[in-house]
Amino acid sequence: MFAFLAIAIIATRRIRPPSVQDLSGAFQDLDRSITKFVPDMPAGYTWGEAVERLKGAGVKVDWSKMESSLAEYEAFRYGGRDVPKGGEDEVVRLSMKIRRRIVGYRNKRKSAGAD
Amino acid sequence: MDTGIKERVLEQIRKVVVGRDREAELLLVSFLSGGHVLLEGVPGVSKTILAKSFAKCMGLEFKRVQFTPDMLPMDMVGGFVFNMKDREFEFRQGPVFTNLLLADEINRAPPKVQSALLEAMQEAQVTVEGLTQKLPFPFMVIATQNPQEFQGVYPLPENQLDRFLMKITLPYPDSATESKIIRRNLDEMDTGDVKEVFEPKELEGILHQVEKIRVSDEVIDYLSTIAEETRKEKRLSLGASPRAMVHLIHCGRANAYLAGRDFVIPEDIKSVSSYVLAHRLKLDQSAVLTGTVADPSQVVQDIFTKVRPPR
Repeated sequence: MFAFLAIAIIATRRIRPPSVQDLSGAFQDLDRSITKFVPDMPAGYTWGEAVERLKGAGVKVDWSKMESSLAEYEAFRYGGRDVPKGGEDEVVRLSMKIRRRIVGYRNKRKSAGAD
Repeated sequence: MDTGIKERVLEQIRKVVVGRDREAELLLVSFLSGGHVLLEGVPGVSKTILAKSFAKCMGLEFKRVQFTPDMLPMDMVGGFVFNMKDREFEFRQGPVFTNLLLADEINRAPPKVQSALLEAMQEAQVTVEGLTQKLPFPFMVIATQNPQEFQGVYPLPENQLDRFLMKITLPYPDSATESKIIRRNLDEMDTGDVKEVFEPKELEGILHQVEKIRVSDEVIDYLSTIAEETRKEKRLSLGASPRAMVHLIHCGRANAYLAGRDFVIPEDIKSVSSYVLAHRLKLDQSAVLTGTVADPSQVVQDIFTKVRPPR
């Protein structure tokens, strides 16, 4: 059981933060994380819906920072503004949390099975 | 961009209408989109008072026409009457010459009258015996109908329904809201309490600003995909028209404006999609009979859940 627990912890730690160039890259990475690791999120989700959903699920990030990053990203993505500088840290954190949470959940199940 | 507009309007409407914030907000979105609204609900669910208080707080001239089976088109658009003094015919404007026309129980009027509204709704003008007259700007029709009526009614044809930007269904209020309504109505209450929120010039400026809201190519492509999906959908026998998609994008702009943005995001469109599209779609009879689907808005939601927006 301890061996599986150790593997689970290592597996969780092994997830490296993605190397993103800017806020746009950070949101693209977040989209990949959501699509891959939140299976019941429908393909037609919008950013607003995703934020509401993850907030409701109790994912702990600084949501006010996250929302201001989203507003800047949307201004770039749909409003034709320049790519915003900075603001990607919280987005990357959220993306990592989503991945870790799922990996952690899978490992928990694996450990429980080992018992 | 003025983000406080919605609150200013809702604050006034709340003075006389209880528990209809979402419906009032949708009326505002329709107005800013330059569209017309069909309100559907059983009698007594505050359809008329909602329309009246909305007109009042927007500072719009308001006229109400009670549609009946014996009505004639000229009762609404007006017509030529002989002026004895000048000894010539002159055009007398009907109630359609206003800013906000409440067409009460529209489905009780014969098709001739309903179609007389078409030109007014589509082109903001009326033509009587070759004379074309422009309607005042802004012009909005709020029509009401009772879904429970089957006798002595003329259901609106698809082409007429397509002219309505939104169809808003007013359900019965929940018991807490109903208690509030009853308590409030113990005292005399009328739309006189509602204050005008805008000056006419300010309103015109707002409408022009909404028209300038940016819509990216990707958002337009997203809408085209949605339209295509409604036409391919097996549960539907009639999909969304190009006009429906134009209406949807106008609503997106209005939503963006109310949110204080100068660009449209997919959420602006998705949040009103059922109100804008559902009444224009026709369910396939076999899908209805097999119980696959009962409501077009369910199909709209399914399509928006499936189609990936630009992210």
